[in-house]
Amino acid sequence: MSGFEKKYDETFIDSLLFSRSKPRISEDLKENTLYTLTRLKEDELQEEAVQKKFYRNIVGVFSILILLFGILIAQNIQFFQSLYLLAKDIFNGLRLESFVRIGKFVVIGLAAVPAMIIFFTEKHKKKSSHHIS
Amino acid sequence: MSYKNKTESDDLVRRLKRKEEGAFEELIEDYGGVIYKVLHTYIKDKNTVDDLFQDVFIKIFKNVHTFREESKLSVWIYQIALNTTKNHLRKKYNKDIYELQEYTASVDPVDEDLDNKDLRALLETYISGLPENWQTVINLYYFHSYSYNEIADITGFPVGTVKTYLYRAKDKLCSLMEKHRKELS
Repeated sequence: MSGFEKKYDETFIDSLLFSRSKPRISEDLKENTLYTLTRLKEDELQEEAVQKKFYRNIVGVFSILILLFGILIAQNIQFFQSLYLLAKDIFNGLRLESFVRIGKFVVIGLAAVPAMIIFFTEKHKKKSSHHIS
Repeated sequence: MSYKNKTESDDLVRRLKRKEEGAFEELIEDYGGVIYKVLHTYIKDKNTVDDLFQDVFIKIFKNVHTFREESKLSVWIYQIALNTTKNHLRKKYNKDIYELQEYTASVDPVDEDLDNKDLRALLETYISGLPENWQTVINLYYFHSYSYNEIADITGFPVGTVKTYLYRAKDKLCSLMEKHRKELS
């Protein structure tokens, strides 16, 4: 017996501890966990789709509102014309009649620019997100 | 035991961030066993451990985008597992894992001749009788070959405490195994 009197020393325990096989979990638990994660992923995708739809609607509404706002300003260009005339009285040397004539179209054009930017940005986002997925 | 090199680990992180199901399956396969063992060290009720196990992976799923890759993925995962355990103990028993110090081993000797396979079984029995924190340190050190610093990061114990737990655990296991051998001879 004395031959292995000191058999269970620290080195031996160390090697025994290192040789332990990795614990495993039951297949049921693994399946359940994966199922839960799949459900979570589905929920996330669904929520993302709803958010995207909502964002698209908001963008659409804002584009229309901006355009309508532009038209409204263009239709009341006389107000700006009177402002101009006032300015003209003040700065007599200025000749900006031509601006007033084309002002209506300029304002509509300017209003359409942000609307187009938002529209195309959204379109680009849609394309790239589709590409990633 | 599957040890991942840096490239494999980076690839797994990328796939986890894309929320690929296969990546999570791999994660459960690689770390699930030790996570379950660590949870079971502190919580004995099987159903609770199963629930907490799922909680750990749900947290990983929801927060993987915040993983900054400053530490190993496995260290980050075990931190989540340990924090989940701490929160559960705090909520349920108003207890911190630092308070779990008492030695509870009361293991009956096994009356049979021991080959290496049986020795491992005996060792497992003795390990399960050690204080919970010692078991955690032993599991992390020997299953993943983590450094003292990494174990300290995971558990929140000071590095000195980790060393002490490991030393005491090994010492205790040596004396328990020796005692058992002498009883047999």
